[in-house]
Amino acid sequence: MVKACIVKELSKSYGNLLALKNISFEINQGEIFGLIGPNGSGKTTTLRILATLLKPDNGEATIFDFSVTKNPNAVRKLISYLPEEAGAYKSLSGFEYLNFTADLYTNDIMKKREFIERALEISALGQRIHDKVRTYSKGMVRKLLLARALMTNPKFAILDEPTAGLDVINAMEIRTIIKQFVKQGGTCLLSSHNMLEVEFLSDRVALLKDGEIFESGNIAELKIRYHANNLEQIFFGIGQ
Amino acid sequence: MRLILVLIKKEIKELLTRQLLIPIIIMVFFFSFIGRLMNKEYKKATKPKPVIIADFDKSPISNFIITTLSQNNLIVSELTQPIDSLLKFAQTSRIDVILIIPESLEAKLKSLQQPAVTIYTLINNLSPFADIGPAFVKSAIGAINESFGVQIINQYAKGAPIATIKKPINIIDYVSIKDQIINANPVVIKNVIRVQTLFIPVILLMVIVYISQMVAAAIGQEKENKTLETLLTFPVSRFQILLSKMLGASIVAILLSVIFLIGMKFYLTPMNQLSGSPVAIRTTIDNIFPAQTTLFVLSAISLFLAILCAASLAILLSLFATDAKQAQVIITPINILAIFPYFVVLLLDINSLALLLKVILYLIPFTYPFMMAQAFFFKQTTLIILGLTYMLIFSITTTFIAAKIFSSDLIFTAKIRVRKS
Repeated sequence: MVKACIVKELSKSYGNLLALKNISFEINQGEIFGLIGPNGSGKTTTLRILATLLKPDNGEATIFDFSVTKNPNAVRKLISYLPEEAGAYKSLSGFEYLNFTADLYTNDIMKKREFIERALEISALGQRIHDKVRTYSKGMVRKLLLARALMTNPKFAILDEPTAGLDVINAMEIRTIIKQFVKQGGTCLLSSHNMLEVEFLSDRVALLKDGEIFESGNIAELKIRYHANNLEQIFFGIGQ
Repeated sequence: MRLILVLIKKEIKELLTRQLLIPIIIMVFFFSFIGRLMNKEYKKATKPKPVIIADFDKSPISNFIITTLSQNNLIVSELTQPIDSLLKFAQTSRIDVILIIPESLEAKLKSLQQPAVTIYTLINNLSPFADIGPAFVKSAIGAINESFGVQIINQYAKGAPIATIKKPINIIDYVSIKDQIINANPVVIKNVIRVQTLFIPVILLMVIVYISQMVAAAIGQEKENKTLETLLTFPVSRFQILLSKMLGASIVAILLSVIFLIGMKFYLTPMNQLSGSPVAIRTTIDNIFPAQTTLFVLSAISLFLAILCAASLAILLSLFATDAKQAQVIITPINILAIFPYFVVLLLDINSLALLLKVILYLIPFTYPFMMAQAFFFKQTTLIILGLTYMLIFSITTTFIAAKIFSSDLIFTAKIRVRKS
């Protein structure tokens, strides 16, 4: 099985605060891997390292065999990152934003058109796509950003709390989009503190707490191992 | 290159909003309006001014005075009344000047008793145009005095050298600028050079202030709108992002400065028409310093380098801001670094300053473009070359440091530290 991502003994600290302590995990191509844990457990730091935004103090991480520290430019061509609190440029319209992003990924007009068409389909914003981003609701911005993240058909999508702060309908729509993306051959690493969402989407998970992975594996197997009905019970059981 | 252009286009779209443009365009119209208003007021003020003359002498000489005044852009109203009623009349008729010619003026003049005419000036407002009427009267009286003076000299010493009597010692002015010596009044020459070199520092100051604001907005908005994190994961190098921000902000700042200058031109053109341009003196200066094109090129190079210095410094400082508001505050030192040498160059002589102050000024990259015109006029070639080289090194070094920070964790961790504190 092709490994989309390999994380080996990754550590990261901010001054005296040790955010990650030697974490390791692997993600197979074509799966959704969930990183779960409470706030401040190190999920976002892990995602930022994999997205080439932060450099680890120790350890190594690769995306499709490209090192995130030694070859970040190659990694950036393969990944797409959706941060938890991301925004879009308010002075641009949704369409202009998509157009700008597409321009950074290709100079082929046909390919660019293909990217934008896919984004329009994913975002499903209709005519509102031509309005300025500043007039969008939170759900609309999130859908636009997800469309931007997935329109280039990245090999590896990193999604940090993809449905954070959204209502039930918007959250459901976004989950469906993520599922579809993986069905079409993409690989996804998502982080969330909403364990039911992770359970619904992911094939395998890693549970993070205080910068350490204290359990990882297939959700079904974990449920049997911990005699639990869902991820929440597993997490709560281990945490105790 | 294509990616930089895509990024620059985005920067310009982000920065050049209607909210930014509308106040600037309103200002241009405002400048134009003020310029025209001043022009209209001046024209009104330079029209023949009314003056009241109370002639208590009624002599051929007093008559000569009145005729001379009438020929000197003044509308004369002769009223022979007591001063109180004259003042009341002037007040109600909005007349600024009353001239009283006393009784026996002619007799006293002929017997050389130095008679006096009295001028009453009514101050109704503080506008500089209000001084025009009294100035006309005084100038006309001055001309009359000159004429009578010559007549008196001729009467007592026929054929005497009048010019020598009036001014026994003459002054011949020479001005020396470096190795050039010219026969001219130093005050006039200085004023013309000042006027010629005044505009460059004003543009420069404006561009520096605008650029630091635009760069701060470009970085601050990215952080505030949470778009920077995503932008940094796009397949574009950090240096390209940084460069596009500097260039995008510089283009917008230059555009704003041009719009502002157009406004200033609207404002100044009617004003210049009022004061009249000393064409002859300017031609003399052009002859002494034929290399005005060199000055233009040097100014353009120093302006370009100042833009690079301001943009790189603003980028470096803005990286530590967490939002747009903080970015605007964090760039304040750049404005101070620009304003300080601006005023020093404008008001003082750098060479006569204390050593420490001189060192500080020479360390500020913006000092050199402000000094460029002066250094050119005084042929300080070494200073010009060193200044331009220093600005280039300064901007490259600052951009390099900014690029290093931009490529490091600091861009995120700096924010974390601020939050924690």
